[in-house]
Amino acid sequence: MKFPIKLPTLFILVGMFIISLYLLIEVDYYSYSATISDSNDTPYVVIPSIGVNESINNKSIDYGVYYEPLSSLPGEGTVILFGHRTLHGSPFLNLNELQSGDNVYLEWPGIGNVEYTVSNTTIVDASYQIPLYQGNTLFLITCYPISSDTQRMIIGSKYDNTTPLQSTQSKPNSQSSDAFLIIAGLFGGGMLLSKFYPVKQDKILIVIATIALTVLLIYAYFFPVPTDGIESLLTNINNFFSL
Amino acid sequence: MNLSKNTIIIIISLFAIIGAFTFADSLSTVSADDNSTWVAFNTSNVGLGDLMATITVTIKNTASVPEYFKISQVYTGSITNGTINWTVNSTNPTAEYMIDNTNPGNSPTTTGDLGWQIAPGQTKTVSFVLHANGGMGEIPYYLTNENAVNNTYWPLIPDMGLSASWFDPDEIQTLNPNLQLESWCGTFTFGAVNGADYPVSGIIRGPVIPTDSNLIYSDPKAFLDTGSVAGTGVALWNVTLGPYDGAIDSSDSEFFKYTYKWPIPNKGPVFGTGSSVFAAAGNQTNNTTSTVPNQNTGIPMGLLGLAAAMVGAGVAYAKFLR
Repeated sequence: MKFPIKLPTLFILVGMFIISLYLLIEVDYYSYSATISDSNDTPYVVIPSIGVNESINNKSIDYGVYYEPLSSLPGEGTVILFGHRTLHGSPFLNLNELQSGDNVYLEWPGIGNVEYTVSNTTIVDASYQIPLYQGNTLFLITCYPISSDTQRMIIGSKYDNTTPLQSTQSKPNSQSSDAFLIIAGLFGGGMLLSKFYPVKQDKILIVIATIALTVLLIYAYFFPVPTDGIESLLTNINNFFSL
Repeated sequence: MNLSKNTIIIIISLFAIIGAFTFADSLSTVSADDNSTWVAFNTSNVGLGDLMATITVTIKNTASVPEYFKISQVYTGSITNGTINWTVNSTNPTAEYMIDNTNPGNSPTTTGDLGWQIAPGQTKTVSFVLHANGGMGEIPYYLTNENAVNNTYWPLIPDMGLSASWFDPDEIQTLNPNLQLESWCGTFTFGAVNGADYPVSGIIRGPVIPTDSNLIYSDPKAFLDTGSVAGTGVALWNVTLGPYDGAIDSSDSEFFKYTYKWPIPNKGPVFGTGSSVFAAAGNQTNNTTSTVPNQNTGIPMGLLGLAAAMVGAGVAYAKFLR
């Protein structure tokens, strides 16, 4: 019996599908970012030394920088913020570059501009549970090493002072267009691949796959669903292959 | 390009199946979130009454000045139309009437707040017995959830039975940082009465549930609903009550008893269980629950690299090795 798909074509199709799942997570993030409107009530975390200026949400770490609701408000106790280093907007991509003495600001409506100074960096296992009551301290927590979920990096910062918030810096969310760039990238890449793919009889398969996956991403943009299931699937596959 | 119809069907089917599994997995998460969807309430054919609570608290005054541990007789939890008015049956040791500018009351026997003095550094254990007045007392009543919304889910109705309300036993530490809660134990009893002239079946939850607490006793033995309140299993019972025939008796009513103890043993103050809303951005995230970073949060990117390598290897093999 002749197998209907050439082996290299099968490799490419499977690879494209896996890549599209990662892209789907990112498209989903941008879609949610577009639907969660910023307002004057939105707090921000600003870290000038690594160029972070992100809104803070209390809905999910998948939507950017996430405030642990069981922690305290800035200036009143221990504040804990989470963020991804990869995917979901990668808000804490360069968190590892923070040095002792760097400043972190939380612009928090109703409280003020709360300034912290980075004091230490700690690497812990992913199962570590951080105590909530550690004084007037800010903890920024992200994955470690980058692109891995096996450990966590915790940046501890000491409270310095609180000054009045001059103005809330509500800014329009411009990230929704990034989703279309991702979708266009997948579509364009797939079409280019099909054009130059040397197995002529399988080109149509790559075209079909490209169109199907593009439609999948477009659907996910307009009808976003929580991607926990997809992330769990990818994590399990990663673990299965010990990647 | 020579492509058989069967090949196209196989490809489309492959993507359809994988896509279906992927989205089914995601949608199952949505379904789980829908567990917190409450339908708007109209009225209930089953009411709860004779609610009593026996509560024992051990509390420490960490300040250098005397403090009072006070109890109020009006309880409002996360409910609407569900304020419970309590009468204090007894206190041990005997509580004092408080100087009170918020709930002074008109009569020292029914209203007004009570409390116990705790000396600086002293740890004191007090207990008190309450019973509900009016609704949930002598009048069968029910709680409604403040998040209840009108729905058009017919014929599928996400009605999860009678609601619970909840509160934080250790909230006193936030309200008065000088008071440190050492332990809290509460036993609640209540009855459920069918007001309909036909038998009914369904789920009844304990009306008052402490958070971050363990259910240590229940009679009849309760199930635990761990999805409604973060950090605590809500005691619930699956009941069938006979028709009301003009007199409350054992056929159309049932009594329940349950005991919770705070804190959950060996459970430190950790992150990862919360679902509360912070005030600053609460209007953005209304009616949503938090997802919480945990051990599985984050996606390893190794597979993405592998996928890219597969595409590259496929192209290279097709071009150079075939």
